[in-house]
Amino acid sequence: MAMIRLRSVDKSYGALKVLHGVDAEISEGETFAIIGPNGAGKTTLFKVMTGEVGCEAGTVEFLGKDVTRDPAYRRTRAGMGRTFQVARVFKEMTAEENVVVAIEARLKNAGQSDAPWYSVKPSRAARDEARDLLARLSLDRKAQMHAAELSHGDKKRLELGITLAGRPKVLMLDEPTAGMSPSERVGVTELIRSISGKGSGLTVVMTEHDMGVIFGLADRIMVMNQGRKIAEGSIDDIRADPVVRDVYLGKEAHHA
Amino acid sequence: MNRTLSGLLLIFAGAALVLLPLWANSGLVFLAGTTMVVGVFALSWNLLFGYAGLASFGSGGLFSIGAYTMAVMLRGGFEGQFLLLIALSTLAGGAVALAIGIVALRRSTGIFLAILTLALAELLRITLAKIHWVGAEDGIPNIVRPNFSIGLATVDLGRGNHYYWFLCIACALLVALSWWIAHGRFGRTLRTIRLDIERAAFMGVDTHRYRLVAFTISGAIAACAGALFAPWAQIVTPDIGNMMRSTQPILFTLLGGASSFWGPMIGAFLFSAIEFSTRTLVGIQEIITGSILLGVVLLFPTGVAGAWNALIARLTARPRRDEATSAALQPVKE
Repeated sequence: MAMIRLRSVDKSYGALKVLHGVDAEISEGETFAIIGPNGAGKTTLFKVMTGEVGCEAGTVEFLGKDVTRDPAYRRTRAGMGRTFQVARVFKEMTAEENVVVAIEARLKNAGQSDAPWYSVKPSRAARDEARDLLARLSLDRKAQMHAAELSHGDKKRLELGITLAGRPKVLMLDEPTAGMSPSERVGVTELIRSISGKGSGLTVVMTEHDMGVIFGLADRIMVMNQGRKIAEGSIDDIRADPVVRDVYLGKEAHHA
Repeated sequence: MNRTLSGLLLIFAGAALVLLPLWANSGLVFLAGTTMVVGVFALSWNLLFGYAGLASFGSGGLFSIGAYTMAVMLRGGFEGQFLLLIALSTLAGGAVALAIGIVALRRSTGIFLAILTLALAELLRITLAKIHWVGAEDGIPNIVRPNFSIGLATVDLGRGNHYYWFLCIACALLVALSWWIAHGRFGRTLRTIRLDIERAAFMGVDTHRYRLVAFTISGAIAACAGALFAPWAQIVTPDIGNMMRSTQPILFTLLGGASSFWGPMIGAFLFSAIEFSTRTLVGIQEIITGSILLGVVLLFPTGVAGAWNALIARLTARPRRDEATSAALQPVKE
């Protein structure tokens, strides 16, 4: 089944047209990467999927339903989770609170809030779930630290925790390794692989600059250039594609 | 330790307020009652600012709506239903806030919301000053302190200090309600919206709806404070909701600290204390008040409550980085 389907999506910022009739179909359980040079429209396409920006033409379907006009929070409730290029966490809250508020939001939206109405504290179950999740992300020792005090890599992990707390069906990762040291990159790649591995059923959509990360994770890759899709396929297809080499990988090779 | 100490302080302050009429003169009692009411009013404003991240500069308008609703109904002879009148005034404020919120909050937050609310409050003040039914410029004088019965008991708030003690109870209940709202799941969710609205939306939170509800609740509490104030002052005029009134909660919050739930209330009492102790210094009172405010803002960016928390933390805790003094008018952290 298609998790996300885009049909001829057009998007402009003022006079600048950034997406030209983009089609895409992302299947359940796969890890789908969107790549392309700077300004190719990756991030805009990503935001069209999440609902942060609208599109002038075309439709976005999520789980078979047309969500083109749904705001981000509705798509989140339907099962879309998102992380940001620069990790966005609630800095004044502790790591545990960050995850707890996300769990509470999920329970509330599902009508499963289990804390009594008069209680000011999060429910025991929500706090236990938060601790388990932090342990999975190797953040259990930092649970009581304020998010502002966490390192860059830990903030990224925590943000992933907030997102996973919503139990998404699709995990949308916007440059998950941006700004990381090589060793942190390896750690995060491993983490994503362990979360989205076969059997988890989790679908992942990611944009990424680092080819190592892409080739290590993606099942399928879509290459964009100047607002258009120029290629789509498996890692091998993309490596072999002469247009892609020209536009994208070729350029990188020149730089290298 | 910090909690116990703060709790003891709170009980002590509460007891001092309740026992005040036993030794203080009526002028001081009136000031204390007024301060309690505007303190609750300031708490309602900070529920919006410190938790939801919305700054209203027109909260005086909602205070005014509550006060006028109460004054008109008491004039109409409904004093026997006083508790119901409070509820109706509160609802009136909530309904107006909801209507404004539906129109204003969709697009305008930040400075636009500040200016819009300021303009609406001024519009209300000018309109009230033109309506003869509510006394135009002169307002509604001689408001009675009601005599009503609950069940078998009769409460005559007109006698002695009864209305003062009624204010103590009513304000305590409103503070408890605000505390509960601020510290529960709803308050936590509001904080996530203030800290990062997009991140909150990507937890599935309907951020617009939450802000609207917070705006409504804040307006309702502000109106309730106004409704309690009308029989206390025994007169309402259009100036009850002027710009000075709208500025009060902002000043109190600045002085007391937006980073703490209690900040605005602490600020209200400090402000009253400063004004009271400088009342005979005609001409330089404003200068002194202004200088103290400036001093606090410069020396303790997190207000008195923030400085207090930092002090307690330093005295009790193991050495730890002091984050409490890092930002100007910095919002809630608990």
